[in-house]
Amino acid sequence: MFSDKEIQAYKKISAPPELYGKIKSSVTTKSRFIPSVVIKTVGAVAACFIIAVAIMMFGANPEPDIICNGQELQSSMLFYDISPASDKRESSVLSVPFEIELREDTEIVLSCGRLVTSEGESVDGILKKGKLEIWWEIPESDKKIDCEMVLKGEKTTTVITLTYDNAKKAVRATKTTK
Amino acid sequence: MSMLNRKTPDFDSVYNTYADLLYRVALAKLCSSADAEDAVQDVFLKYMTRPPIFFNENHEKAWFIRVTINQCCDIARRRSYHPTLTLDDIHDIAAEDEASVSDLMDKLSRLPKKYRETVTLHCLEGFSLSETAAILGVSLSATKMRLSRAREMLKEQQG
Repeated sequence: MFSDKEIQAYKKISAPPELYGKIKSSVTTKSRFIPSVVIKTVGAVAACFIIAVAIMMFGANPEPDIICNGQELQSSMLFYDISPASDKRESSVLSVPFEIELREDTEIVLSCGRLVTSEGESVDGILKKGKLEIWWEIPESDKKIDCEMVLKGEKTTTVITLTYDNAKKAVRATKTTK
Repeated sequence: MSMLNRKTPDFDSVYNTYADLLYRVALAKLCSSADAEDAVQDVFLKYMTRPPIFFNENHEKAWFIRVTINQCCDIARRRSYHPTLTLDDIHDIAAEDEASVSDLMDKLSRLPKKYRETVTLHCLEGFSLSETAAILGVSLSATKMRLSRAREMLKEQQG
């Protein structure tokens, strides 16, 4: 099939010298690469875990974010009634601004007063999730009692209560979540 | 039978033992120096990153050749061209051997792949028929048949 000369010539074929260095460097890179793959995998798993925890803590929280009179309403806060409606001309109405971020469709129910937008439109009923900028207007007649705003979602119910201190002209807002 | 334990592989030692053999086998199968280098590189990387347990030296040698042939098959499948080996591709070939190597590679390249690897191992690398059969994972009779057909094909081409 092949002559001896051909076989001898074939056996003289050797791997090119540069192949040694090429493979050696690849082996070294590969050796370093394996731990880095492990580190990357562990890092990715840890990152996923952190993201999952963050989603559980923040993202999946159905509770609405509520800013009352320019400050985040945690559980309770006190502020003075400086709304334009409290001046002498229209002293009968307490007007408190709210920014509410609804994380689910929510039904809003008031025990007193009414909710209006900056354009003066009334807000009530079931609202789609999203950001809401509204004023809660409470007439003079209701300032003596605690007024409640109930934000009733599918997963959570939040109650905001406004208590008016007529002597100090101050309002205490409290928030409870069920 | 001495059992070799799995140990940290000594790259220099295995490279010096097998590099030339594997390169020739890959070159004969792929007819491309660059592809042969890639195949040999992949084989050593495979060996260094996940060294198998070998029972003896023959087992080790058979493993290297088997993996090289498999690697060559993968490379041949991936590539979209049919290379023609030129002598410039082959490292440091002596002038008096150029014609012989050229003729030999020409003959090999005309054979179907499965005959080519049988011929390379038995006729060129000097493995016995049973060793060739064991390395290729085929029966002894199939190995004999492949060699016989390869001879006939080469005779026909030369005649």
